[in-house]
Amino acid sequence: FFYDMVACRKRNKGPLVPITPMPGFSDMDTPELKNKLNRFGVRPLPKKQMVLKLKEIHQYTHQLQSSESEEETSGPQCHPNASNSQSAPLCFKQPTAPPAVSPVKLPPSEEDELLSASQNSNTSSTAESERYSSYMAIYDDSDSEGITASQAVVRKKDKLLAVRQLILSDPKLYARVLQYQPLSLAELRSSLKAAGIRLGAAKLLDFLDSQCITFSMAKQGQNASSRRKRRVKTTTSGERKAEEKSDRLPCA
Amino acid sequence: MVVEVESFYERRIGQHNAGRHRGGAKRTSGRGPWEMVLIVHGFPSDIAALRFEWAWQHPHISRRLSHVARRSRKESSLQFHWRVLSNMLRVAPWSRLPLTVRWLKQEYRMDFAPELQPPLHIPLTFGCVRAKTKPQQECKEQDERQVERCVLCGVFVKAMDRLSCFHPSCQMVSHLICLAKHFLKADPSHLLPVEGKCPGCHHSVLWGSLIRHKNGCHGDLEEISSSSSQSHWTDELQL
Repeated sequence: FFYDMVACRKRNKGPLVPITPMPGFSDMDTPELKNKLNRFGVRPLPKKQMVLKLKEIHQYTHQLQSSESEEETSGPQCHPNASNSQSAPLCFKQPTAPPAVSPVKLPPSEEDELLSASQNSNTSSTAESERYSSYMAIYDDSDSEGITASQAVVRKKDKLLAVRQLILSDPKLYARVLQYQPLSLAELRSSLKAAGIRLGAAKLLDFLDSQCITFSMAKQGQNASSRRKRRVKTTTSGERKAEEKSDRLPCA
Repeated sequence: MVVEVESFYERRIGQHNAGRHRGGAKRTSGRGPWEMVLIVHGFPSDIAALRFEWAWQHPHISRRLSHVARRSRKESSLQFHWRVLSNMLRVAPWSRLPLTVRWLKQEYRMDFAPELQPPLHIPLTFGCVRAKTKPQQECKEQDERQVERCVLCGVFVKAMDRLSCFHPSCQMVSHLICLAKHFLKADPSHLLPVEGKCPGCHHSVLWGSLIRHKNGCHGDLEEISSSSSQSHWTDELQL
């Protein structure tokens, strides 16, 4: 989902054009609206609100292409380090706006870009971010009852949203993520199972990778590195070799 | 050429008796002691560092680097590894980690190719570093700290959830999750923030820096002159 950022950095200066026309939510009857919302794990709401929500979701999931602005506005800035006398000045990049990424163009009815970057460029999209924020409020709204991770069930993208929601709704788990601590894959999988989310291991790993979440094959609390051999050793000649025991990692 | 990476948690474990780590290019004279020319540091866990290292050493097998072309004939080993590194920093699962790329030898240093610029939060820098010796004051401060409220939600903050800003005189204190959600408003499809504006002093801060500050690792490297004598500086290297 968050793939090659090289691909995403293509510039596109075309006008903002919706990819797929919006279905006539206003004309649908209530059971149909309920059904559609349920696919996103949203509980039934009063009819008017369901229509609004579905419109928001459609607008978000059918991303508009926007032009890259971060490559024009950002650039490395050098700050000579005052404490540095003899070596070269320390140069580092001052962080600016988060990188804007053009979402990949959608084929009709494809909603895989639900999780793709919706980051804002400086120029265009406060409106977009508002739409997205209100959309994500569906998942993060702690006032609403009855939205469980298990409700976002069948389709893969819904499952991924459910995993996301599972992490967000578990403060201990989310705190680990936020502190870059590895998540135990075994524990995560059993939590998913308990929540009724059926997601294959490969897809789960893809999701964790896309979110830059580190995972561990060890049980939570166990030090994974204790299961590996020491990774640096010394030879008698003074040369040092590094050993990498990577065969326990499923992918890298 | 050997590539290696370092973990920032390792430096808290005390004296690292694994000793010298290496990374970088062979001397052009062929054999001889290895020379460290380039390091990537700031990995928040052993696992993250090891995985990065494995992928850097095996780009042709790594699932995340299938788009990276094999070494061409005109590419030196170092150039190739630099290209692989440039690609790695731009893709998940590494593109949001709080890393720093550091050249240690002026004569080898290269810039990122224009089409392979790293994420904005990953600096490219130069110079040898070592760990600063840490004063003991910080532990005491924690015990004596008064009860604090999160600036974002107003609820009391427990030590284990506590984030504070590292800018001098900024008093901002918040919950880990509150601040993460605040930063992610601009980046809503992700779970792990990269950067944002401190709600207290409004400086732009990196999420990785906030976490390091929370763990007491922030600002604990100092530049040293590359011509330093006696003990080799890598003996003290605990990143």
